[in-house]
Amino acid sequence: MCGIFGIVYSEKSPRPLGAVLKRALERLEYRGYDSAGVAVAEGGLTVRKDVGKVAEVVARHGVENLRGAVGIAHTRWATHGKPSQANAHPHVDCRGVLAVVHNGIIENYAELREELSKRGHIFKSETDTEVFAHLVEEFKKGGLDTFSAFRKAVGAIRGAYAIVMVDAETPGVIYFARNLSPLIIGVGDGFNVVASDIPTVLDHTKRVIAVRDGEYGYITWDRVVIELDGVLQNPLERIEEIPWSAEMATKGGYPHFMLKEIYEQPESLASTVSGLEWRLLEKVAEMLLSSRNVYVTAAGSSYHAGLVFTHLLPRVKITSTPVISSEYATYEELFDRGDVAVAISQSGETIDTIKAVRAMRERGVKVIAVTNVVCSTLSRESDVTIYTRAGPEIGVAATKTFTTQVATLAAVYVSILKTLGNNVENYERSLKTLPNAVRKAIENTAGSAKALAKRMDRPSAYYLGRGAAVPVAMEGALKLKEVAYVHAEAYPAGESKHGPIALVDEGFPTVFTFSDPSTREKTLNNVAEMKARGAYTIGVVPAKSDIAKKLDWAIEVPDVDEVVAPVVYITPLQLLAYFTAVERGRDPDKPRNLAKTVTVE
Amino acid sequence: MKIAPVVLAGGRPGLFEKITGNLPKTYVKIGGRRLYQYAADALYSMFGRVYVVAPQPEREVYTYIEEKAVGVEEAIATAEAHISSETYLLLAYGDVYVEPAAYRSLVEAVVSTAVDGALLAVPRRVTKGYGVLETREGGLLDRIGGEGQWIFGGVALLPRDVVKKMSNLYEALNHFAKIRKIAVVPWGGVWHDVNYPEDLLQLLEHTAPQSTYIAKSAKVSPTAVLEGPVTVSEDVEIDHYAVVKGPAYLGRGTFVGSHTLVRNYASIEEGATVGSSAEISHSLIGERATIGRASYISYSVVGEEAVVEPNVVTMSMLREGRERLEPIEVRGVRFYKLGALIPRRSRITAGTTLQPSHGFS
Repeated sequence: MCGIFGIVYSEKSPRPLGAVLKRALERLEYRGYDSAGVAVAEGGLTVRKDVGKVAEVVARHGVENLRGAVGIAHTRWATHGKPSQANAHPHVDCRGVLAVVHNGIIENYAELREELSKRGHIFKSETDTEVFAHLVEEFKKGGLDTFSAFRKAVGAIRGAYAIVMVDAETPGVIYFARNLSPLIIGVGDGFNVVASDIPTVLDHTKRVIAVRDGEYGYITWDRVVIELDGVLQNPLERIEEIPWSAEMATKGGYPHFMLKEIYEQPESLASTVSGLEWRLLEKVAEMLLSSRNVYVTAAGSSYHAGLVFTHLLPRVKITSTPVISSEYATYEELFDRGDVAVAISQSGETIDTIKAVRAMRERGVKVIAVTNVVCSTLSRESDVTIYTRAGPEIGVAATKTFTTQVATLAAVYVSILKTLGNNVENYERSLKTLPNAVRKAIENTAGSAKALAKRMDRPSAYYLGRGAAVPVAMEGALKLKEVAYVHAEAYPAGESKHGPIALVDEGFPTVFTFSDPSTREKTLNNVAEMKARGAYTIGVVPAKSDIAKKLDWAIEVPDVDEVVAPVVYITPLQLLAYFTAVERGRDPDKPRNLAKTVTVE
Repeated sequence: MKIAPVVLAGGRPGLFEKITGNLPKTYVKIGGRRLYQYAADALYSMFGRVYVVAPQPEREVYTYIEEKAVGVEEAIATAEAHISSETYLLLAYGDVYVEPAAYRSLVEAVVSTAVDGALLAVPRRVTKGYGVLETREGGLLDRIGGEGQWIFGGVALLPRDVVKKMSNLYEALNHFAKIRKIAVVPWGGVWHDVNYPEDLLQLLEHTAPQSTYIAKSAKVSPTAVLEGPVTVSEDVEIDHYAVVKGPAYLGRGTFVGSHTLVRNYASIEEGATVGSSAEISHSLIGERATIGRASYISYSVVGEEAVVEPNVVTMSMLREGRERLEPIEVRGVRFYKLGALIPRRSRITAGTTLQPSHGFS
């Protein structure tokens, strides 16, 4: 996900163009924050771009001082190529007259790039986007005017994209194209804008046009031209007035980012699964199989994803030690050559995890990083990196980043099985069908979770499970603590009778997770124990089983392969935490005392 | 895309006949406004105009469209025939109470993902007979039906040509889901649909005032106690030693007798009279109704112009649950609260004790 913006004024902007672009960058920062850039077409092309937060890039490059009538801007979330100045958008052609910003993926960029290189185009970045600039340049060289060249270039690319381009040789025009990635035109008085989201447009005008899939065109200060397959559309009849302000706008149609991100998990998981690089996973499998000791280190939700993984490893006779990042010192004496560590961090910037990784590598441990952020500190400091491809997550409580971590680690496990010569077709199929199973789980449990949230009126709760269900319980409890501020404690169910059960009285909510099929029978004994003490027993159970009958409140999820079960079983618990927070009037997106990424010790 | 916001406020009263007479249930007054006005006002303030399909126009700023025949599809068709150049209809059920942001979220979903329409989806555990929304890739509507727990929340943004030739709403949506893109927009915030009279009791919690307003022309005795948030409308009279514990709503010209206790989530509509030493708790008292002295009205709905004579007690504790009620738990015991439904223009004889759920079918 990236954020894009373009604006074209009749002559001079009422506010300095640099300030307008800066404001747009700030608005779009949530869509990507590893690098940012702008381009202004005013007597030639001026491009300012760099790695870093919007505020840093703006200050470093004096973006605010830019003057002109036409500008584009971009905030980046790296997918192709690491975050670097060269890879930051806008991208320019060889002559430096075209500037392109892009959100999405150009699937056939490699072949296009090869062909263009043959024709003498020099590429300065590793991105898929740059191909587009050179493509338009190439077509222009063939004698086409800019728009015809742009149209032809759009026809040549495949994938999901929203593209915005300026050409210093046709100043006063911004070209755009959209397929699957959002793009909205704002129709102003003396100017027109184009942007990735509604609030950014609403800063300038309330009159908007939604660009549809496959459409492309251009805006000048007084015209909007949209075409679809060469046929001119009538954009004016599609203008809609959005009579509310940017501040009143919802989060892309959702009341909270957390709900949006829970709801988006099928799409995120689909991108995780389709992005798996099996050759890399095989290499990782071999590293793990040939290692002396395996450590799995992470913090917070990532640690729980790591625990899911450590519960799988004994099945392939790998002994692993889960290490909470900040506690690595306990194991420091063990770290040695021949050991392998799996370090998990969504942001790749979690200081505790990075410190643990540094200590491990100092003693010769090979580190496999699992992270969502391309070229983050963690991936730079590790030997191998596997990306989870969840896209940026804005809600502080991890949802889609957790499930994509679990899915990625499940793929590592499958790859180990494969390396050992097992038939893994079933598992591969489970991974492929996982997005759909999660969609079903979200669809079939939201109502139960919402209704149950009303009953979560006690100051505390237990989350219990056995075997591989323990980390699911831990993650469920963490979600409830984080966003609803309800004290929730997770225990292995069998351990609960050694002390914790003392707290249980009439109506005490106890949430059981049944994601591990081998422990379901025994977990039911714990349900009976808790029930006998008056606990209110809640369970996330497989659909069409008779477990539901033995609980006071059952949430049924699709029965899936145990390797991916944690992903499916956690979704109702995410929803439960979300709805409990809403029920209690908390803002689930901004839990108190928490930061998305903890970069201090 | 030009949007015509339309509130569907018609229909037969059904179970609400005891409260609204011949008028649809959306005409029940709560917190000084008819039920459908909550949707209409929100849409009016958003779009500067709103169409209301209703059997009877009223003196409001909305554009009323006369309901020709009963039924959602008929109402939509009537609205479609009436509007001028708009290309989209934002349809809102008049019996659904939802935060205004829900309407915005549909528009924003359609604009930012460039789909052809959007439906509000709300989580609901009980799904029998409701429009269950099943999605496919990208959160788009796959079909209506199945056993999921996101149901149609009574708010839809649909292109005009889709609603034009609609004989059955769900069938039409099923058809269009196949050939067009309809986004399913999940809503996690406040949403409350009023199907049964007892749903009004929960609605009181949403419509209750959130801040305090006391009209200049209200006469509040110096010994009365008001605890916010309360709305004390024009010409209200609160007599000596009365206590009003917010959140509570007192409509225009209501009278609260001395030593009376008006407790939280009470809504006393225009012109109603509450005698002295009475207690009103979590109840809707209809327009110009009279509550006699020393009566106790709890978790009840009193229809307009009903007369409750002195010393009437509504019992409201139910041991057995009702599906539509939220349980209450005190010291480990779960129970449900439901008092009496006292029909409009009826009279309850002095000294009567009404058993829990009296009058609610």
